[in-house]
Amino acid sequence: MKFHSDDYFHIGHEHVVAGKPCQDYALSGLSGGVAYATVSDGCSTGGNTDVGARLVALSAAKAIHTLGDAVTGPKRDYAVEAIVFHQQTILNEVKTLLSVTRNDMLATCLYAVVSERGGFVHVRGDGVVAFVKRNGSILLHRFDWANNTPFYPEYLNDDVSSFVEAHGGVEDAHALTEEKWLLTNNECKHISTTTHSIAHGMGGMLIDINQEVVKNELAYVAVFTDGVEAVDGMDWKEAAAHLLDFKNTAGVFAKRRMIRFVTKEATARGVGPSDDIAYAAIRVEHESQGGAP
Amino acid sequence: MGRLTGDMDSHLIGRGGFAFTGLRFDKLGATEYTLVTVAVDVSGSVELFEKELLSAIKLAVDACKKSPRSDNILVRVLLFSTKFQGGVSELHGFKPLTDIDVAAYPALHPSGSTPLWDAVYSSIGATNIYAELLANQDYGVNAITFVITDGANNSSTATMAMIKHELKKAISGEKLESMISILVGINSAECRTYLEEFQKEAGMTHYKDIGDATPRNLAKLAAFVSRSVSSQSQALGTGVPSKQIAATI
Repeated sequence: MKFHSDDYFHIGHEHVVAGKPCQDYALSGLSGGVAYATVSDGCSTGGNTDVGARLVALSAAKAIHTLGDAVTGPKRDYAVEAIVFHQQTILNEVKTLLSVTRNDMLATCLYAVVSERGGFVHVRGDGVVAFVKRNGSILLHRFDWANNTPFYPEYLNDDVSSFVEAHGGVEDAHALTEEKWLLTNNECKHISTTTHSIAHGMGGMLIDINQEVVKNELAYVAVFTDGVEAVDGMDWKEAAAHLLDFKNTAGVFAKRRMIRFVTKEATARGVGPSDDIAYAAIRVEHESQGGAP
Repeated sequence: MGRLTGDMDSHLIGRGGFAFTGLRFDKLGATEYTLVTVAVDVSGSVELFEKELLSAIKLAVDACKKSPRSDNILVRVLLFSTKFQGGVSELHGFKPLTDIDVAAYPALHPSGSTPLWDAVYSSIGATNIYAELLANQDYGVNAITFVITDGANNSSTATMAMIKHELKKAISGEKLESMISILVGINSAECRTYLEEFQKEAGMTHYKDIGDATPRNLAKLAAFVSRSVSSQSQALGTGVPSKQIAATI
């Protein structure tokens, strides 16, 4: 079994016309036997969140590199805590060095890690997670915070109370919605809609990837910023499916797919992505496809 | 001359018996490519400057490696003469510059007559087919083709209608983002009018006359080819062909 990864991000139409930078960022790579994919979406009303989004994604990647194979060990909760701890340590140093402010750091953080031992996806904020099976079916998880007020990990550093206040002031209140959909060749099936408490959402949503699933079923896992939900004239599930329809898996497979999607498929419906969009994907190459045993 | 032939796929061009090779798509890791074709006349009349011509081809292809876009360039080199079955013979199909060792290009051994139309048809036809295959795999593609000759067509299987059809398809913009086709005349003073009329009638983009086959002019030809390739490759993504191709060499 071999793992490959790729990522890409693209500025949204609204940011182009408003003269804003792209505030989404994506990063992916391999660290030992672990593949990772991460995206970050900077708050459009924050500070220099284009910088913040990059620092968040880079620090997540660095934390994964630092921990190496341990991140996909049997104790998922420990791995998540360790990644968050290392990431925060890095960010604290970088923020001081660069005089980056709290408002610059308002950015989400979604990442997936996969190895032969399994893996997980950790969602801190909003966005979409996709699992593509070898049979072609796609399982989508969409995470959406109420009032267009997503959680940003930076809140945990000082004013989490104001975030809770923005959602009614009660941590037990359910402000995070998780939708699950299954896309097959023939249908788009709604699996479930679940709400989660603010407290739960602030800890980050964890989706486990079983070792057997990696070994037998998984073709791709991908994380998207919520820009996938803002493609003009296109439902978010369709947009995600387009972006996962890799015609060729050589080299920069995700970059190639998104460029074609943005320049041809999405713009055929309207202005294309109206918000910034980013995604990162891990491809599992199974033995029968040439991946080593 | 390059990598294992196992990395190259063969493709047919239409039903006329023409074929070409190109690197397998699972070996192409970038997002976009400029397809470059250099077709070289090796009919008997180029014998007088055979070595200089070969040097110019080597120099041109090698110089492309210095382009900032060298990772996004695929080059096909073919020779044409009636000594080859079907009029054309690939030195190599579309492959990355890193896989091309120009030092291994063999001597040209000119002989036979000039199947110019076969060369143009093969050049444009192969470009169209490979571009379509690449585009279907999400790659961005544009192209530039050079057909270098010292004489008029005097024996071809391909017809003018076949050439026009392929050139029309190449500039329709459906698969190829843009296409530049250049007919280069060398030592061709006697047939200059013919070549200019052929270029116009067929629908090729430019005709360039480099004059006599002197070492200086052949060096200029090499520089023109590499500069034009680089320029066309930099135009990829703009939706239009390069406007930097010089009117004169």
